[in-house]
Amino acid sequence: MAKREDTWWAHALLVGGCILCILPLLRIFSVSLRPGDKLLATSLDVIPKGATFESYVQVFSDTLFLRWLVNSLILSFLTAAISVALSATAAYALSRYRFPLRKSVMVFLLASQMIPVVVLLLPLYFLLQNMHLLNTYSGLITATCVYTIPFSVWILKGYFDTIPRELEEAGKVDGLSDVGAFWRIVVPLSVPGLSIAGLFSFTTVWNEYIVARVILQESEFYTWPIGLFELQGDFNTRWGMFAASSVMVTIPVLGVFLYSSRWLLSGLTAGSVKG
Amino acid sequence: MEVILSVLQVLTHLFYFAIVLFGLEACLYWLLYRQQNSLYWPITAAMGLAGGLLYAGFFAGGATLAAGNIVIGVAVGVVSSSLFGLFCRRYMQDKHYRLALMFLAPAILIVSILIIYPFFFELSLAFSNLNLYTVGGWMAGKDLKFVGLDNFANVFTTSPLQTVTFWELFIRTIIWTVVNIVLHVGFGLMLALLLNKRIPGKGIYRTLLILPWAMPQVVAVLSWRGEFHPQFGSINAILNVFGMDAINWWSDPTPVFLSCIIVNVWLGIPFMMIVFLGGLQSIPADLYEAAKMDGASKWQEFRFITVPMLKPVVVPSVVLGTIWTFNNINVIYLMTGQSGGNEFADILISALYKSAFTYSRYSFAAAFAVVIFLILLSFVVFWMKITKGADD
Repeated sequence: MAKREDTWWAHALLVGGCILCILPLLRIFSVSLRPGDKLLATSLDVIPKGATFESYVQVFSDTLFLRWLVNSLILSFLTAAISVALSATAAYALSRYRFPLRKSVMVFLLASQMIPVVVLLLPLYFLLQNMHLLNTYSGLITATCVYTIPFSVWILKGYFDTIPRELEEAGKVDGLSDVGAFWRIVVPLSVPGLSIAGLFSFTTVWNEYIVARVILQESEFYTWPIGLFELQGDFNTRWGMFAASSVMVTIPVLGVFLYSSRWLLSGLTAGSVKG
Repeated sequence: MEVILSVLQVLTHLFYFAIVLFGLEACLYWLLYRQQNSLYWPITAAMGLAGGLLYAGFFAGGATLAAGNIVIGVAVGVVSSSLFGLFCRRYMQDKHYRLALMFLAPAILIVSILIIYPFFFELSLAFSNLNLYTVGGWMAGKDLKFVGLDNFANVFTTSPLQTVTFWELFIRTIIWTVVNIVLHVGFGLMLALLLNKRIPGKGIYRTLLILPWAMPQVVAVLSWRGEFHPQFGSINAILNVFGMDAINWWSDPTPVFLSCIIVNVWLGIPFMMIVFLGGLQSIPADLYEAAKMDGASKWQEFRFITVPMLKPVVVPSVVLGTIWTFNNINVIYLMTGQSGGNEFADILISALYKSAFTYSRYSFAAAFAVVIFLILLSFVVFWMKITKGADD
């Protein structure tokens, strides 16, 4: 054990870092509790004088916040399901079979992650407009698959690499076809990997702003980040509602992230480091 | 009610998509596994015919389906499917190849529709004159004018936004990337080293320190934007407590850029910290014990054990971080993109977004996008050259 007196400065630095990390959260929490007439006070109290939940009620009564949350939830779930389903087979092929151009396919998938989505957004916008998919769920799902699929393929390939081949070979000896070996042996064994890939796609869409802004332009199709941006635009009048909705969106996300951070981080390394 | 309708619409689209995928897999199966069939070539050609008709009706035609489109579509379909059949007969005798192709087909199809096709579409836009005035006619079926390299010349000679020039954006992007990466790596490494010590309360520190990464970026950036409000934000209130003048974070050029950098540094440290912490924990403890036996100082331990052992973790995360920071539009757009926002903090990528979707200069933006893509590409190639050289 290191001696106590060695570490006081380490504690000091860490506590300082932690305070900087929590500060904005505390502030937003305190603004959300402010009564309407004190919204723009410059006080630094955490629990303001005359704290109320007024802003929380207002968010639901005066805006489409609930609708935005539902939109985000459905979109994130569907995108995660679709991108995992589509990338699982490709990842399996890359993990198990050796074929010409295999390396090139993998490099292409990796390189496509480096193309900023904004670069492809303009042609995608016109493509979706031609297919009448602007302001629809399908439009946003299509556009977000651009980066969730290559990413999921990489994560899942890393996961499949850790499953011993012998299991499938044993299954094939017992009469399973090649597709059957994938479906009945590899898929059930990869549930943790599939959920990590799904969770990544889910959070990507859940937090997505830039692409959604372009594709969803009518307020009833907004996801919550766009709604939040609109609320914040009116700094003076709706600051309290912005803060209240931020708190409501952040708490479940923090819960899920902190709960799953262990697997998330291990999934990150399994997919990327091994390559 | 509308939500249900929208979900039903997605399911309908998925159904169509599944039919297309199923058709594709069926065609592939035919091409790969029925090569000994005497009807191989007629059926392959018929598949190309059907595919060509489908394409002509779907993409090229619509209301203005012309005979020429059908002929071209069908011809391309028949020729390409026959060539692909030939390819299968010649090279796909190995069972592994056939299975791999069938497993890969769905994802490859999607990725090529969503990445490769838009990329070439963007290239073609970059050489035409699509803008706010021509987009209506274009949508109605009018052809665009070919303007050669005009758009590319404009990228370098005119402002992508209102006054800021390409070169100012370029320099700002470099400053943005370098400052962010240096601070991310510096602070991340410092916190990781502290967390790697055996100190009580480590778990709590770790949890609190990843909060900036864990909370939704939109919430974090918009909250910070509020804190930087010149009149009501807490930053100026704190400066005031220390007797300093209020800074106009929302509209003075340098403070605007500085506030974006502060927010992005705050956001990016936890990722680097976690990655470095993982790297530190994988260094075997006996190395340090051996060094202690030999009488190494703390600094020598850091310099000759920690730094070299951490290098394989640091190098890829710095490269990844550079690309992410270069491409990071969220922070800058959310901080300055409101109506009445300014262009004091814009980097290349956010200027691209604004020129396309705020100013509707579509062809200009397409050319600009190609230029940005080439910059990124040269960075990646340059980096690959360097690492290749280091391996030898």
